[in-house]
This record gives sequence, structure tokens and C-alpha cells, in this order.
Amino acid sequence: MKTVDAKGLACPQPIMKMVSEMKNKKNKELEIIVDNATAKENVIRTAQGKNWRIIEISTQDELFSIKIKQ
Amino acid sequence: MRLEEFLLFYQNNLQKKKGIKMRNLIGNVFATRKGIIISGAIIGVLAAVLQKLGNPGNMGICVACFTRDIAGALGLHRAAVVQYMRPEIIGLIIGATIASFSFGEFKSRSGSSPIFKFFLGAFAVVGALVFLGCPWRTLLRIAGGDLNAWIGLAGLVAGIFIGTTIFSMGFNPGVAKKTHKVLGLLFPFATFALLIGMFLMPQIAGEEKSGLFYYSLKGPGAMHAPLIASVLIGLVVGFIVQRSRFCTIGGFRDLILFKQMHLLYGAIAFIIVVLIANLCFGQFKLGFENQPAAHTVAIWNFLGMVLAGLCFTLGGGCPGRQCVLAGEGDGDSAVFVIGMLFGAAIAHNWGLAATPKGVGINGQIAVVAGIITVMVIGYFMRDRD
Repeated sequence: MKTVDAKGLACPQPIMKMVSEMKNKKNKELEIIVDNATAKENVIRTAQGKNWRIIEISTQDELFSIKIKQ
Repeated sequence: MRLEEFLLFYQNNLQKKKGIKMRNLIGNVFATRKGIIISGAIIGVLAAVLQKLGNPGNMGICVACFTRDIAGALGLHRAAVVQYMRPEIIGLIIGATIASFSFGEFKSRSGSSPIFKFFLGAFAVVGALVFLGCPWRTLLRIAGGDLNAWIGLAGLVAGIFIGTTIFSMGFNPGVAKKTHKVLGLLFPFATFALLIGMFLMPQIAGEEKSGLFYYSLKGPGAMHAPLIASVLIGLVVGFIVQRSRFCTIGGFRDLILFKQMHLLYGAIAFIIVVLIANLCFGQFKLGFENQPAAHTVAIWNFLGMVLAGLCFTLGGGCPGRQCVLAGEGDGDSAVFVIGMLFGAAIAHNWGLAATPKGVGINGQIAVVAGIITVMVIGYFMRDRD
């Protein structure tokens, strides 16, 4: 599973990074790491909008990890 | 089991078996589609109410205009007609601090090109003052029947488009790092001190100065809602923007970049509600001429907002959102806001800001120079890979 590290990035960079990895056909599953709730919500909303399934959301040390699957 | 885990479980298991409608996994009611629409609508109602209570025409809340008035109240410029320590802006910032603490989202961070953020804030306000309004006021003016604002909106969208293109080319202002909590609190506390100052040094009828603050005796700076109403409404708006992530720049930006309408629904709800409120309060007047705090020179309405849209996009959000992020502990957004304050002061001292008569040559040069400067710096701030 490829990890997209979007810690410390402001809008719209986390989603730009995530979308560019989603476009790569090799990536069937992705883990996106962000450090704020706004970015977490945006990741979930965008993934759902592009019909990817959210398989795990976890929080650790003020970081959010969202795992998504095509 | 945490709420998120439950919702995930719910979606993955129960939903499939029973065909239950997809639940939102976001876990923040304000950030759902309904949430953003209701948020935009409430902010719209409050803006219309502020105008009814005494704020200038189509200026219930305008972050650029009010930053300019605050610059005047602090004596940073010499335009006597625009001096007032707008408590709405202070409320906006502190409301966001309260919301972010309540929901465990306050986070001190800084270090994503603060010096560039300063100049983006300054240029953004110069552009906005050439048009005479921030993105929020653009929508307020449209909802008030000011047809010039449609040209401003077109410029804003063009500026956002340039900004997203620069992002797509690899523009990267860098990563913000977590920092000491006290640093994130510094800016909200500074604004809070100004609010306390307003209560200690209130306006004295007929006097231009009270204690540390300047007040306008006439002009837009003399038009304002009662202090308490302004503070309370500012706090509520700050709270709602923090929770909902309402952002007028984000609305168009996400549509251009990701074909996503989410934030734009909030902006549309905002316009519709203000339009209805204006019709009810008799504040709607359709036309180009004689609109409150506006001019009719189309090219500069357009280009001013190109500059503003470009700067706000590269800065990460509209001016209201920058204030809210500053309230949440984002040091770079705080620098952006201070940049706006600086830009507003310079805009008046150098005669860059428009007047109802139009835009002077200095303002025209500043807008063109600003657009070029920001594009060039943005181009050189890209990751090459």
C-alpha cells in the first residue's frame, strides 16, 4: 500500500497529492496521512466522491491515517 | 469503539446487508453537504443583519474593508473616513479559537513560507481594495444588486484559476511544523487585547481619537453596528467557519482542481440568503451606478480581483478563512492577516485603493505589478520532480 504523506500541508495540497496518486493505475490501495481535521474530512469526501472505499480511519499522535481502496 | 470506527463498521457491514443509505464518515455535522449549506446561510443572515444594524452598504462583513478600517483605527494610514476597530474581525478570530479548543483542533503550527504569506496578504488586500471588497463582499454586493460585483467575481475566478495552475505546476510553500502552544495563542490573544481596548477606550461623540484608537466621524468608518452585536456576531461566524471550513476561494478552487462542489454550496447558500434578506430589509438595488462603496470601471474591478484571487489561492484560503486559521493556531495565516493589515495601510497611504470615482494610476500599477510579482515568485517556488 502506497503512503501519501500530507502532513503540514495547507489546502489544496493534501488532496492534490492524493488525487495524483489515485490517478496512478498501479495504486489499488492508498494510505493518506494528514495532521488536521479539515484535511481528514477533505480526504474522506474526495475518496467517496471518486468511488473509492474507506477501509480504515485511525488517529495517532495528532496524525490521521486514512486508508482507501479502489 | 470510537465514533469513526463505528461509522466505518456501519458502512462496511450494515449498509451492504440492509441497503441503508451511505452514512457520512466525516463525523463533523458542519462539514456535511447540509452542514456547509446551513453554515453559508447562517453567515449570510448574520451579514445582512449587521448591515441592518448599521454597517455600511453591502458590507455586513468584509474582511478586506474591515482590515483597512482596523489599520485606520491603529493610525497606520491617514484616511480619516475609514477608521474603526471592527470587532467582527476580532470576533471571527476568537470565535475560531473557541471552536478549535472545544473540538480539540487547536494546533500551533508555522513555517510554511511566512514571508511569502505576508506579501500575499498585502497584495491580496491591495487587489481587493482596488475592486472594493473581499470575496465575501463580492458575494454581498452581488446579493445587493451591484452588477459591478459580477465583473469582480469573474476576476476572482480568473485569479483562482491562475493560482490553481501555479499549484498544478508544482508550487509548494513548504511544510508547516508543529510548534509551542503559546505561539499559536499569541495572535488570538493580541486580537483579544484590542477588543478589551475597545471597551476601555470607546468612541467619544465628536472626537476622532479615544485613548489609543482612532475613530471616523464620517464616511464608512463611522457606520457600524453596536459594539456588542458586532462582537457576538463575529464570534458566531468565527465558530461556524471553523467548524464548517466555509471558504469562498476554496469553493471555486476545488471546483476547478477536483470538480468538487462541496464548499461552493456554502457560498451559493450565502448569496441566496443575503439576497432574500436584502429584499426583505429593502436593501436590494439593481444596477451598475451609485452602488454603495463601489466604482464602475470594469477593467480594474476585474484585475483587482484577479490579484486578490491569485493571492488568496496561493495563501490557502479566503481572508475570512485566513482569520479563522490564525485563530486555530496557524502562525502562517496570522502572518497573512498581518500582511493584509500592512497592505491595507499602504493601499491608502499610497493612493492605491479605489474610490467611488475609480482607480488612480498608482492603484493600476500596483495591481499589474502585484499579479506579475506573485506569479513569478509562485513559479520559482515549485518542486522540480
